[in-house]
Amino acid sequence: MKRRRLKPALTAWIRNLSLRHKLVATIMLICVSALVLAGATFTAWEWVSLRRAMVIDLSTHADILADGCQAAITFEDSADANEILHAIAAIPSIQVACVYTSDGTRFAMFMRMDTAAPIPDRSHLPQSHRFDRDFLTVVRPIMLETEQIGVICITSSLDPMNTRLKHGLLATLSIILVVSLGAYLAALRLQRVVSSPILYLAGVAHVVSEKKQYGIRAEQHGTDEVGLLVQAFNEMLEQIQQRDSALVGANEQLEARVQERTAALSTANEKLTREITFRKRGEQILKRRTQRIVRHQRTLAKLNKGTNDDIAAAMQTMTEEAAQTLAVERVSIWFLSEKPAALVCEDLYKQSENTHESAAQLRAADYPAYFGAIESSRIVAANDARQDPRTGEFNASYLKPLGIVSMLDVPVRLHGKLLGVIRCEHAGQPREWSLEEQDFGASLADMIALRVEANQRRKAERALAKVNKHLAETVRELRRSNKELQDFAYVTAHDLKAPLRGIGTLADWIASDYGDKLDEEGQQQLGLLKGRVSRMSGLIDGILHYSEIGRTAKCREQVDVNKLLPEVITQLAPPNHIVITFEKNLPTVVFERVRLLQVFQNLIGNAIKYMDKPQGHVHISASTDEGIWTFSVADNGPGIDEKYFGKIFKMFQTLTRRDDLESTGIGLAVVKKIVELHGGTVTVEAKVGEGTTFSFTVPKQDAPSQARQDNPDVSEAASTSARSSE
Amino acid sequence: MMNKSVYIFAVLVMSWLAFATGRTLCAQETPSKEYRIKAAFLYNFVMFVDSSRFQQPTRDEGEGEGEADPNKPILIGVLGRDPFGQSFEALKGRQVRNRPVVVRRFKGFEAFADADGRTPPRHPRQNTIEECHVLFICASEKPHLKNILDPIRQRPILTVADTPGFLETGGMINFLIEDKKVRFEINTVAAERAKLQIRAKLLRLAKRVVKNDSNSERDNKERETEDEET
Repeated sequence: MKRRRLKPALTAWIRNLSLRHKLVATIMLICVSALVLAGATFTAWEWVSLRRAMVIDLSTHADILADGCQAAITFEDSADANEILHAIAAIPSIQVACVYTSDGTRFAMFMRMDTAAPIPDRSHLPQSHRFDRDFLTVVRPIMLETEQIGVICITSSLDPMNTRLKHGLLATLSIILVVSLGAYLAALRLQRVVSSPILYLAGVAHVVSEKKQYGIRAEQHGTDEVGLLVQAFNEMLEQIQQRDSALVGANEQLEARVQERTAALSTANEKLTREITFRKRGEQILKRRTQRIVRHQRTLAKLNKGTNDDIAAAMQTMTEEAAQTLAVERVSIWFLSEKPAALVCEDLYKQSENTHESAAQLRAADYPAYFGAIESSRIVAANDARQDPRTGEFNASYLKPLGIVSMLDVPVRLHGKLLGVIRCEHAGQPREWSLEEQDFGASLADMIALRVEANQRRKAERALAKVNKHLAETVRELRRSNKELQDFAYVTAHDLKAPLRGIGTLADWIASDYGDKLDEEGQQQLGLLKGRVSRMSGLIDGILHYSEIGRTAKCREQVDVNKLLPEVITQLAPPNHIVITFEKNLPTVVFERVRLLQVFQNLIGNAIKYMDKPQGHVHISASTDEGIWTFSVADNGPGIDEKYFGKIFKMFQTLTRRDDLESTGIGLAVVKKIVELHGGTVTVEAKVGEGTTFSFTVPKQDAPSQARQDNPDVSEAASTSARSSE
Repeated sequence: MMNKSVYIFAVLVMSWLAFATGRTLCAQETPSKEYRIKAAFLYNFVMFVDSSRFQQPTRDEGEGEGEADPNKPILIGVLGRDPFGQSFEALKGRQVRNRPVVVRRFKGFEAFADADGRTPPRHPRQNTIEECHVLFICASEKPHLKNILDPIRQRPILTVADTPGFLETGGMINFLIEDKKVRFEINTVAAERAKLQIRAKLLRLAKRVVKNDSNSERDNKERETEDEET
């Protein structure tokens, strides 16, 4: 840590050092490092070479000794070998010398007294030499011709070498010291050659920068780099002198501009500040507005929640809430009345008094401008009600006495129709109606409209229910009276028959008992009486028949018309001149069998009864249409005039005189009743003199056997005639 | 019981065996060790004696001085009753001066004695003997030393013996025992006479170096006559 902080400080110190010192230091650094390097190299070299020389030296000695010991070993004379080894004692550095034979035994040894060197171990001898800490051990083989007969090993102390090295090092160091001193002295002198002109130049530059005297010039001594520098410096000074004067001018200009800019900036700043305050205010307004909207919404939600049926109470709540929410003095709801065109106050709430009023009236004739305004616009927001052309009319009568200054009138509309108006009136200071307040008013108006509509609907529903109830009662009554009537008809007819039969019997008795006593006229009148009685009986039967229909509801069944018709014809027993034919493959319909029989009986019977042609023909056919069967009974009888078509189906109506043909005039009525009871209709087509066709319809029902209906072919069923009615 | 008796028997047998063999080994060894050393010394002497005949073999050189033939083996002759036994077997294959070594044995003079016990003055295999490089004269030949040494007096044959007084008779190297060690003494004059140069190293080791012998006078005489002739 400390070193790290020290390093930049050191470099800074070096950077700030005088040029003179830097030069000297550089020279010295180079000198000393070169010297040290040389000295180190020299010492290292000496160390290496000393070691090598020592090894060589010692090896030589060992070789000599080895040679000397050769014969001694050969002839196993260790005494001689010892003697030879002792000769080495002359070399003081040698501490130990040993001879080993090739079988490993120590043959001879020399060891200096008081030596610290160990006796080398035969088994750990180096290959040629080994440096220990203080000793060098050299090993040489002892050869006899080509055979190695043993080894010699000499250990020498390294002390002499170390001493020599030490001396060498000392000498080197002292040389370095002396030479460095010399170099320093020389450098001190010689650096001036380089440094003095630069220092001179630096001095001049200092003076110039200190005193700002750009007129001074440096003296040039030579043409070397320093000379060039001096020259360039002088030129620079000249330029600076020129620039300086220019700069002074520019500076003045600049200052003026700065002042200008500062002024502009301060004005801009002011503007900005103003804008910021404006923005802030806007923000506040927005916030207030949002709060207001929230309040409005809450009120609306509250009002909406109230499901009060009582519209008057609902209006009161509304006016109260509106007055509180909008903080206005008066809130009122007015409904439009048609005649006379006026606004009638439904409810007026005064906040200061907390009272409700109603029943005031504003006539359209009195305030045409105001009525025009509420008729045409969505909202009438009069900030200054007294001056506003729409509300100015109220000025004298209304605004001034009540102290009202601002008005917000929102027309209430339902399906585009003006229904009334909600009015908020503010007293005191004039007030500006904000958009959201207007919106709130509009919402209120819509709510009132909805309320009114709901109210109306509820009223209508209630009325409808009442009407329905009444209707149901009527129907029930009607049904009862109808029944009573039917019963009455039946009972009447039934009861009438008994005395009638008595009259008939009595007439018969008169005819049989007193016939011979009566004259011709009496006889004739008695015959008339009998005729009238039988007609009366027929009429009563007819009424009975008619009233029976519908009284007794029988179950409907599948009726095969193909089988039914022959039965009808047999019962009628037509006279010979009348041929009755019917279509093959007539359908099977769902009907009360007896009634259908009655229908055909009546229709065919009529045709037979009124037949006026010598060759009468009655044809029954059937056709199908969508969902219905149409049966037709056509004859070639007298036909019926079209004007009687409506008449013939009514009860007791006959077109012929009663006396011509015995007819009750009830048959077609019965047919009509039966057919209509079964959901069908009866129609008639006729041409006077040519014939009549009665048709009736039977609705199709899901019956299993209707396969035959599809056949459109008309084929003669009856064998008696081949003539078609058409 | 059984085991114990067997064990005791085995111990007895083994101890007897050890004793017997030990004895036999010792009986053979004592002379053998001495002569094994002497045999080795015979080999080694060749290396410390310089002579043209003893030179190491060289390819280029022809038959330089006639007798010296480096490619031929070094011959070691053993004259007389051989005391070495198997000692040379251990040295078999060992080369001296890069030359193989062959040991030749010669019977002693006694073997050639006639009925009267008189020995011939000249060995029957004298020529072969003279081919040898080293000649060991056994103790059995002591009476015949003069007859042996005289003919080869000037021939480069290294004569070795272990007989006291051998050097004085004209032998070159004589073994003796000192401190239970085999040592030797050298007669330099005899060697010089035979033109054999004994190295200083060897001389250093000699217990005694003899510089004159019975032949010295004769030598002097011969030198004188040679001088006169020249």
